[in-house]
Amino acid sequence: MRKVSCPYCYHKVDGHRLWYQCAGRGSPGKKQCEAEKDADRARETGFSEGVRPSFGIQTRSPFWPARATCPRCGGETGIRVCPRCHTPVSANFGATRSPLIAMVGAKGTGKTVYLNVLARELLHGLRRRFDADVRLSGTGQRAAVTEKLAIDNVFADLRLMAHTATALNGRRPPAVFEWRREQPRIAGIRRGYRTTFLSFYDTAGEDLTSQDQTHDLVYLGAADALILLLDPFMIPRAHSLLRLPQEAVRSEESTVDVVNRVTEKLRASHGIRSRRRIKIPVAVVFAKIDAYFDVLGADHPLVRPAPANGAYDEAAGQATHEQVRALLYDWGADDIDAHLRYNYAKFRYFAVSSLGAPPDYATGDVDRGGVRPFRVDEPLLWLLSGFKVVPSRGRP
Amino acid sequence: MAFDEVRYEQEVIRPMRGKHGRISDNDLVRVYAYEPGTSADALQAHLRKLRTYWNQRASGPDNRARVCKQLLAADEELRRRLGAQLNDPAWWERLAQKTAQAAQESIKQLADDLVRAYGAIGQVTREQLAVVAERYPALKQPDVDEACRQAAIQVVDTVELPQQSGLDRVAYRELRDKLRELGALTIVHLLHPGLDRPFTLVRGFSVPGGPALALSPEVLRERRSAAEKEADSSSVRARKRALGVLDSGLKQGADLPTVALFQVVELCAAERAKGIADVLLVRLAADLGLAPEDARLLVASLPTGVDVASNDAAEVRVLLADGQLRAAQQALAALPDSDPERAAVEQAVQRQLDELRRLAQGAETALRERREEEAERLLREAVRIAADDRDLAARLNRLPPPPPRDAALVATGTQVRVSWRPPNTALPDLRYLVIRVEGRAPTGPDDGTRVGETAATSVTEPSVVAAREVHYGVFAAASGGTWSRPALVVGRVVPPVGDVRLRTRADEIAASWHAHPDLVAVRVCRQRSRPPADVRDGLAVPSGRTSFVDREIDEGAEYFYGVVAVYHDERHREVAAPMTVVSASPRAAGQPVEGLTAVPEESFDGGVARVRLTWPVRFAQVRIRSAPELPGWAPGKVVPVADMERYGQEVVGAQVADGDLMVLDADVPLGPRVYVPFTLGGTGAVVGRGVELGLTEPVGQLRARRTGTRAVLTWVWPADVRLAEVAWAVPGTATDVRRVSRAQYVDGDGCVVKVGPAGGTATVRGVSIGPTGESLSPPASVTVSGSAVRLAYTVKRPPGFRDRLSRRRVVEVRTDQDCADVDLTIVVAPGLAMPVRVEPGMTSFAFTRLRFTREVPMLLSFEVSAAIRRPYWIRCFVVRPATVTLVDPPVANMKVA
Repeated sequence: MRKVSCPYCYHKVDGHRLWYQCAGRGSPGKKQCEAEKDADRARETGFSEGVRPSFGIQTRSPFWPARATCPRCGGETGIRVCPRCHTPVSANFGATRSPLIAMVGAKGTGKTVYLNVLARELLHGLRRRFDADVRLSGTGQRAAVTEKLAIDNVFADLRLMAHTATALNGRRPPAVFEWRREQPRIAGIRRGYRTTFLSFYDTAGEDLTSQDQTHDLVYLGAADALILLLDPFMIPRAHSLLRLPQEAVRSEESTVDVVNRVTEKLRASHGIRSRRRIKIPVAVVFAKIDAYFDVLGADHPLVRPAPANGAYDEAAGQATHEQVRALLYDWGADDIDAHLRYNYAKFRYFAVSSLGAPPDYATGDVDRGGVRPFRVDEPLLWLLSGFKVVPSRGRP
Repeated sequence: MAFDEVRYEQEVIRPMRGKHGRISDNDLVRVYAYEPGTSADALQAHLRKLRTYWNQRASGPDNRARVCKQLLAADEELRRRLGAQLNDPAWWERLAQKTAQAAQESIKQLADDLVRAYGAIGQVTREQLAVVAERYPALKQPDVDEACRQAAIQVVDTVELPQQSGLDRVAYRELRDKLRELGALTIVHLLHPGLDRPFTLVRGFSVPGGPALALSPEVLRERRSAAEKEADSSSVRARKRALGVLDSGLKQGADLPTVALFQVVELCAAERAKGIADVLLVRLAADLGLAPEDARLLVASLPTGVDVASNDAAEVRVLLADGQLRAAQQALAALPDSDPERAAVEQAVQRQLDELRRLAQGAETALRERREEEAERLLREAVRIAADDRDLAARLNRLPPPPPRDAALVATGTQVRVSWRPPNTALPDLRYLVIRVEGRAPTGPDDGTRVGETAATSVTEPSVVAAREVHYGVFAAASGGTWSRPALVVGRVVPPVGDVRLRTRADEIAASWHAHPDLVAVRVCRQRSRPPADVRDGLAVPSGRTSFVDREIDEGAEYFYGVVAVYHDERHREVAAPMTVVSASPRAAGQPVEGLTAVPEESFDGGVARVRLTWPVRFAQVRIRSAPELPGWAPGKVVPVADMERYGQEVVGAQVADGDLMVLDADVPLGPRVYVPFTLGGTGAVVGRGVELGLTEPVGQLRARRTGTRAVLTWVWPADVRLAEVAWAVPGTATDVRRVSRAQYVDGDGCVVKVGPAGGTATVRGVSIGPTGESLSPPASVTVSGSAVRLAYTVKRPPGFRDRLSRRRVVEVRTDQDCADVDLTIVVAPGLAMPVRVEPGMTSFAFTRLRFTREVPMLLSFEVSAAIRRPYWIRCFVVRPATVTLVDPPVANMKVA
């Protein structure tokens, strides 16, 4: 039995026993199934539109066939759905382990912008760099994909997105990417292809501003990895280095408090005792580093572009980690590092910039010279290398 | 014995109404309402009450009075005849016995009558039985029922049969004809062709003992659908038509079982009207497919008193109403003389014949009097009366239409256009024939020159004899019909000269034109500064048939010429055409402009740019036009001014003389454009040599951000610019020029250039590409400072076994280029975090005024204090100069954990 996390409802399901959804074909003598509201899907994902019924099959085989016959209308179907939330998944889903990567961060840290820019990197830069087939995975509903991301807003219209609305019971459609590439050959022997589903959930920053709402973020419990986005503007000494407009800082909350709430949620959802550290890898990402380009200087290691080749550069990542840690200590934010060290078994710091230049925080306009993402892909590559989805090299 | 008035009226008085004759002795018991066993006193009282009743009712207003009077008279006679016996119960007892015996005989007699009358069909309706039973007034209802039993005759209740089919009369007749054509006996057989069992119709359609069939709209639609799929044949067509009639009828509210029953009823009624016995009618109904019981019921329920004569007469009337006079005549011939309606029907037919005759004669008269419209109207009325008269229809088809209306002639140059309006007729598919005759009107379609035959309402004759009287006749005819009388139009065509062209030079004006072949002379007059009023107004200019040259002119003046073509008519008299007036101004031909220049002025605002155009001042009357593409004319070509104005747009602005140059400053659209000068002169514009100039808006906010040895160039793209040319100039090296598309810029996060120690200057120009090539915008430049000299280092233990175990460390420094006077500090800092700068209190080792040579490592040795505990960091920092930077080794090399 292969347990994978459903990218839509975050439940662990048997990847070899995905359910089927009726294709509505019918059969001689039987009327085709009509679309109707699926109570399970509505409960698990909040999706309340009409869909055709989902069903499992009775068989002792651990591997269910690719196609099955609808018990109601007798029509054959090959549409696979999650057994729990009945959301259609790709035919490739379930065959291999697919990490569910959660993204959290306090209000105003730029999660939505980061997710959109990261999505574009996945679809363009990383796809080419790793010779992979990457695409947004839909849920079988039209416009579902286009609604999730607003890449054009940033890159074409040069406009920031509006604040993400607060999730109701954690029910906002995640952005799911299908990453498919050839497995590394062994002794020249082709080992086939591996498809990995990456599910990103764009959390509204407000969801983390209180302990109660943090507990409502059900997806954290199912996360295999975490991208924790932090805003350096919320670190007082780092803030004081810059002349920022009032609109640039949207939260006065302590960064370590935000991190602490996430820690508590992870401990609660993963059932980790207090004397043990959290096992899932956490990429601690300091966004908006473009604001510090001039402060750090043109030759600072953090402002140099990351090596871009067909593997994650572990040595460069380690160097970045130490450089950011050094900055935290320098900015007097070593409490963050201490909290992370004592609560997480595996974490790494990153410094990224989604836009490459500070936007006009008052008007929401991106720099007219264009969007130039800076090292936004490194956190994801580090996590993916940990899941063996992408290779890594240069281990320290 | 109690006398019940109500019962008495019901059982005695009412049956006697309308009966005549004396009351027989066998009827006395019933009339006197005697009941056996009555005592003498009771009898007397009963008779007293009875007579009282008769007397009371005899003076009443209703028909009971007559009966009672009859009874009183009979009673008086009886009392006179019998005397006291009438009050004797014994006499009444004997009479009652005698009456009962007579009733038995009457029952037998009634049974015999019923057998004779209805034994063949074995049933009698209740109404028929009542009529027969009236002959036996002494019999009560039980006696009548007994008689039926003895006769083995079944008494049935009649049903009300339909009087109408529910279909339109004409439609029903067509349905009947189609059934006959198909050989289908009934509508049931039309809808169920395979039915071979008797069926019922009178009380509803069913097939006893057979399949569950129905007469319903659904069955009808199925049959129609099936018929549509069958191969075409006459029978299939008839079936489709019959089914179609039924379907239309149902849509209009008819009931299919009623239609089917009516058809059978009509057939049987027609036969009954011929006097056919009921037993034969039953057989007829059975032959039509009805079950025996149903057939008997239908025949029994058939209405009486219908005769064939009335049906045939109605048929004649229907035919007359349908405009089938000839068919009505035939139907009338078949009507027997004995038919009571024959006279009336014959009269109706004769009236229609008289009307038909009147209309036909009227049409003949109208045609003779050339009133074709009236003739057509009368014939159409006649056809409405006798649509089945083929001769009449043929006459209508052969009828010539009225002549076309409002024929007109318009001469244009040498062409003549004859037009008309269609005649006032309902004839379809009219066509027209146009005939031309010179000097007189055409009399028929073959009299003259055939100009054209058309379905349109005009023809054009390209060339006619000039100055002659020409008559045109326009004839109309329906398809296959005869030609109408002509619509005539006469005209005299005097075409003027056409297409006059002038060629103007400074010393002469030459003109040429197209002349009609019949032209005999051309007269030309000239006026200065105004058009001539007629050919005698002004100076006569000698002219040939097709041209003239006028040299007695002054340059710059404007001359008007009147050109008149002259022809000869039939009598060789001169006929002048309308005068054509043209004008010209003799002037020298223009010279093509050489030396036009276009210089952009750096001003971009709202999608337009400013340009300065200059050319030699010696060219007069110069117009500059600009367009995205080159004109199709070579320099020096003289083109009409109108053609010039269709090329591009004129560059608008004030032309100012500046020394030897004319200067024109103007706002022009962005992008590559061609500027072409035109010189006005002679009779047109002379094309000069054009110049190309592309104006592209420059990029905005060009910036460069250097990180290490690379710099990212960013700028704001103008709205219409999709391509930029980036020149990266590094001192001492060749300038690197590359093109960057907007898509590449977005994908590549800007434009990246490699920066060396010397830095460089980036110049970016927007590029616009058009049909004439590409144009570059004014440049935008930014200078990028040089990259720092990079020192790379690694931390090592000193070589040698003894030193390897010591706390001594060696930092090996390498550089990518030579540098001197470098101060380095090595910091050994305990803690988790990497040191980011040299701070007081840190353990540090300073090395000053170092001189590095490229690729030659320098070893800097120091010793880590034993007091420093792990983890600790060993990191180098450049103290000075600022142009040197350090590249850290991997973390594992710096961090000692």
